[in-house]
Amino acid sequence: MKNEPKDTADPQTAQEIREFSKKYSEAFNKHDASAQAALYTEDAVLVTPEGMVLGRQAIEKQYGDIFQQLHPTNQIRTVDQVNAIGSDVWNVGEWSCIVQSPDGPSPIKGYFASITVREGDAWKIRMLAYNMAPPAEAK
Amino acid sequence: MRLVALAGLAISFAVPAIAQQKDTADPQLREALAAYNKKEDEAWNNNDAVALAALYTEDAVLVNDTGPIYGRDAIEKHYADVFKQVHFSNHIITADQYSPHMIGTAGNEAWTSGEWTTTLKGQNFGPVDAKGNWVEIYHREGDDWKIRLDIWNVTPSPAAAASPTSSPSNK
Repeated sequence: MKNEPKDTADPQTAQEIREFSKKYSEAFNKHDASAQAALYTEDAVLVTPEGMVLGRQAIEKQYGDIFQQLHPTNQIRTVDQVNAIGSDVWNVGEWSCIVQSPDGPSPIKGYFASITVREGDAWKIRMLAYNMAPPAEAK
Repeated sequence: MRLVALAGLAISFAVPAIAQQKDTADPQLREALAAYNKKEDEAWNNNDAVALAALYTEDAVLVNDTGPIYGRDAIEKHYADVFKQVHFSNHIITADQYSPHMIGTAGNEAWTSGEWTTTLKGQNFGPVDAKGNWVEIYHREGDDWKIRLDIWNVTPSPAAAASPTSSPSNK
């Protein structure tokens, strides 16, 4: 019971965050770096395995590079838990996609945590941190 | 009377200043959380699952690269399992210069991002150095702060580390 993810945010907010997460994947799968960056606040922090990317402009460039180098497709995000702190929200989830490696398409996946804040009527990412699952060990 | 009026004036000036800086690093909080990070390092370097888990809230989430773990009890069990297999030393957590940042307006939640480095030694490997990044959300419990969320990653990412020559073994 204790180990089950359960939203602490109200159902309406939780649903908005899950819809927002879908928008994120749509922009990602279209390789639209500017639409992707527009989902972040001006002062957003993106924490990748390679380090921190600071600010919307740098984040747009980061996504542009990822799209160009890895040609990722089929990104799917699942938001496991949504928590509210005042009008801000943080959530935890998992992601997966397929990237183009020298040997062909290769599936990768991992987990993320993000802080999302309201800007007018829209949700924006203030912080997104993600990790990458180690490749499954061959048995 | 005059003192009261002055005090009122001071507050009316102080509020906009605080509002403006609500999301920038407060030096005192930064220091408190840095001391907290040191406690985390101590627990890691003592390979002490109980001490480490005690730094998390009851309802904390630990987002490992194998998936999230919900709740302090489960987190303690996880660390106990990890420390049985791997010995950690030189664990150092560093917060970046921009942290911490507040979440919400009540002043009870803050988040910090930073880097970690450590040395691992397993039964069949190591010692080997590892490093990566992390983000923690802290929740105020009385005078203390506890970890409500902990996510970390490894540099370089497994995908970047996988060289073309290692791929055939996947098949």
